[in-house]
Amino acid sequence: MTTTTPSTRTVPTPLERPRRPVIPTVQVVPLFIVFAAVTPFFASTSSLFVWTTAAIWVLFALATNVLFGWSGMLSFGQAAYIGVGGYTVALLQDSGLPPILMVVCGGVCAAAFAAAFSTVALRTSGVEFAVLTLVFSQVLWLLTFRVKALRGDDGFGGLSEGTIFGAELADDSNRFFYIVAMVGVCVFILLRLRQSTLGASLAAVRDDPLRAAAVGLPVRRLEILAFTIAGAFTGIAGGLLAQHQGTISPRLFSWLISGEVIVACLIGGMAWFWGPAIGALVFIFANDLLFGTTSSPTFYIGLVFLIVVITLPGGLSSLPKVFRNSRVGRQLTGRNAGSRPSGATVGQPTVGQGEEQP
Amino acid sequence: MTEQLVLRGISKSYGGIHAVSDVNFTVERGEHLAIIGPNGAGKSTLFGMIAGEHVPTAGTVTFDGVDITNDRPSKRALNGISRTFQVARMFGESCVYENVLLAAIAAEGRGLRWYDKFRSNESAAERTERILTQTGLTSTSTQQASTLAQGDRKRLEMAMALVQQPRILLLDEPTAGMSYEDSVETIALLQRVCADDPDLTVILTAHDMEVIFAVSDRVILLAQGRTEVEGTPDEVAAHPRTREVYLGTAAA
Repeated sequence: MTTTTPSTRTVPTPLERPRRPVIPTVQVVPLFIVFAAVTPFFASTSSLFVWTTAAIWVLFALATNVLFGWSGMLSFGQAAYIGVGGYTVALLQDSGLPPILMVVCGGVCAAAFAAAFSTVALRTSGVEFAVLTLVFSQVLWLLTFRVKALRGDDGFGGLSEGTIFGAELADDSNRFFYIVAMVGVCVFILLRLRQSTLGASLAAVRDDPLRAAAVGLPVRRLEILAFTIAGAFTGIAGGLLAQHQGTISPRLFSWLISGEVIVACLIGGMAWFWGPAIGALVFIFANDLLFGTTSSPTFYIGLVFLIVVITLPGGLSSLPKVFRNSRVGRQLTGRNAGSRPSGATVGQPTVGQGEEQP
Repeated sequence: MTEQLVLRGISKSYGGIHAVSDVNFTVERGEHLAIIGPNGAGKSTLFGMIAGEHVPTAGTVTFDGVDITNDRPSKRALNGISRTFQVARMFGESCVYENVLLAAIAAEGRGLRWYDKFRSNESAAERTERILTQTGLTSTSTQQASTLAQGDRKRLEMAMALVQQPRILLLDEPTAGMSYEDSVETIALLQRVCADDPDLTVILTAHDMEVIFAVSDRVILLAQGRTEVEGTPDEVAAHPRTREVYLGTAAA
């Protein structure tokens, strides 16, 4: 056997259509509204609490993905903006502002922190930048102990008080509606941003910064913008989290939270807009389930994480694509599903196949 | 003709190595200049200083009478200097169409528009489609850029530069790595582009004599970072120093 052509065959072009992220806004919006309206009537009080937490984490993960998935920037310190958002709400507690405005202020403050930090820190890039993000969040954590007004370990309480359109936030289902609505609006804005020219420019910076600069895109400014957008929506998530839990402590700034959101993003997959949302839901519900049944939930979360990362590097949201590719691969090689057990996937030439032929 | 791009005393050193030393030349509007030289002659460094990727150690770059020596690449691109790279660079995750569309929108200075839907810019879309036809990329317009063949990558870069309606087109080895058919096509495309817009200035580097003779009016031979010979393609090709630079002193 001299020819190895069959084994090194490349995939014909029609298969390699661009991965067009299908973002079915039209289908998602009504589903979302129905889900949000119905859930409180079916869920028990404790599971409603988890649903609300999950909604906040969906926003947190999607906002974090503005960095990881959209613009290819690393951050190990997104908890900083959760913390800034949460503490802003806490400090505004006695201001008499409506709760929605408090949360918006949290977003604005977090955005300001993110803009200021990234303007300085983006003199570095890559891993160095990522370490700086971690350092920054740790510095803020330390400040909660050193600045008297932030009350150190005592934290703040009573943050769930207040009313929206006359409805008490302390009530679980009211709070659920309020938070889910806020998250919905924010996610919608994020979706529009992703589809905007700015979103395309961020993807360009992710793919090739030199090329982006050569077509006239201000790369540094785009990176600062990405960081600021992520910070703003993370701050809103932090504010909502404070109102949801009712209490906050310096733990909000913990690097654990920064890590957990990355885990959620990785589980869901960052290439698709909704990937991190799926990851966040899986993460929060897995956590909840495991907390009730085992003594070491972190271990099992870690296990799930490992399995996903090893078997599905593109995250759970890449499942349909993996499935489609393996089916197309079988059609291409003229084999049906049963005839050969090896998983010859598209793009991975099965080495040695040519030599087997007589 | 009017002076468009002026390089005065341009030098670039990396540590003790002088990549480019004291290069001076003027490019007039509508002129087609080729910069040639053996590997390591400083062509790409010089190119980088015109495109803004490198800042010269000494000297100034003036574009339409304005000193642009310290301008960033993005600012130069917005001012009408579009380029291609020796090894084609593109936005690999996007399709061909989106690559060109983004280049078109960026050239209008709308790259940061967060309220515009990316794919609903009519004028840019029209220009994109025209350029895709002109460069022969229509059939691959939905293909993901990172999966393109080498010839198409170069063509895509050319499309991204042309769609920006540049005043200066910088082409770094436009036919490098291309098959013979592809390079013939690229040369024909370049000739058409130059004929369509007599005001378009083209500066290119090349090894391929065919491109140089087909496209350029003037050639600068660079060796060890210095200008060695300058003249029409025929003059430079016939100059004894050229053979010396390429083949060594013994051959001359």
